[in-house]
Amino acid sequence: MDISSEAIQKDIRQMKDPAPDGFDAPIKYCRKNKGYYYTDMDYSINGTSLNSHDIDALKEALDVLEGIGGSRVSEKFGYVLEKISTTVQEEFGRKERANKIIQTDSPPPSRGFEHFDILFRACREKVPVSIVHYSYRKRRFKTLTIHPILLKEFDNKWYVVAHSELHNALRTFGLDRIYEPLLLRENYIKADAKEQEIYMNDVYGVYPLSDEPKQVIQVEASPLATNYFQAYPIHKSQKVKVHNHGSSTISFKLVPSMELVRLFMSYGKEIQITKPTWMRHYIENAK
Amino acid sequence: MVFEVNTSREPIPNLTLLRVTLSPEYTKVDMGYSAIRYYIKGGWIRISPKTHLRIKGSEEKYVLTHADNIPIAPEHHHFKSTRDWQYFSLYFPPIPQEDCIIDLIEAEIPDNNDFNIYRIPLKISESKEILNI
Repeated sequence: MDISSEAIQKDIRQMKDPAPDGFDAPIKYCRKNKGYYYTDMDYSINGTSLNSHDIDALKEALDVLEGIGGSRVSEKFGYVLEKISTTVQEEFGRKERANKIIQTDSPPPSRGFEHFDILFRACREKVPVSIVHYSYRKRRFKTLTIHPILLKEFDNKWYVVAHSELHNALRTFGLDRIYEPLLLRENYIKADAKEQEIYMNDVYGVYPLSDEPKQVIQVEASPLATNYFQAYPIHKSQKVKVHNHGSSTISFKLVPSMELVRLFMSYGKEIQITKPTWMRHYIENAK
Repeated sequence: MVFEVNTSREPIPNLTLLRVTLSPEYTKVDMGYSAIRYYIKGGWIRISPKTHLRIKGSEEKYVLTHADNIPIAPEHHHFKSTRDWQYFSLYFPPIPQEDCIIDLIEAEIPDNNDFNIYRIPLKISESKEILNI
């Protein structure tokens, strides 16, 4: 290749020029070595430059993402993650660790997870979907049109929250009970904003108990249960008033849900529901 | 276009005809079956190769071309328990895309076990258009 010294001088000048015309490159001439060099060794002309701290942070973030794994979100995400991981490995010499140092819940792929991408698209592009749903409780199949708004993971299970034409209200459907979703070229029904807000923010879990509004729920918790609720608050509305001997009164402002009932029941005698009364009776009868 | 039908077989309603899809290439019928306690471990299902669709007022038979998730007789799908279930689809030649009433016929002289479901109304105005991916 034949390049004149004038051309090189011109290129270096352009590299040193400030953006947007140049690259703002920190270039100096070394008389001793008779050559040009970067005064900032982390500088890179290729797009956004990453310094050694950025690269370390990127590698750590990748560890976390790989811990979550593609199987928890979608197949597409898994492929992208693999590509990023390979690129980082090639560019920055990231070594594969023999032993994982971050481990998250990563259950094997579940039934219905293959519908994630189509339902994600339906939520994003606001497209109605015809689904076949199998009810474990009623042991009946039904086909219905839903207008999805949200994909939600709870307790390692995936759900789609959608306006159901059949129920004319928001409903939650487990992906494991859905068969063959079909995107429809139909008008999308927007869910009631208030109802949507409640589903997104004021429900612990995924299945609200029907017709129950958002309300104050209060429990008396033993010192043991108090420790857990303090360490792992279940909702932003949670308030803990600790008593003298370590027990507490814990209150929430929530829409009662199946999952909340199950959580309370899992504590056995360590908690007593004081409000609302109907919920106390509901749990007593369920035991 | 797709029709959300939700019609169950009588008198044992554990078989439901869920959806009918009409396309220029085929007619697809989606169905669901819940196993019953009557049979040990829920018994088995299969579909006769003679299964066909018949349009009310016509003698023409649209005979099964293939099936997904259910074996064609003499093969069987055996359930694992009386609480098991199966979603499956049957494919037939295309039927005219117009208002009609169809029968799904597995056996001309059926017993309670055959997958016969009658008088399924398909009204074009109640159909939904599928968005091609």
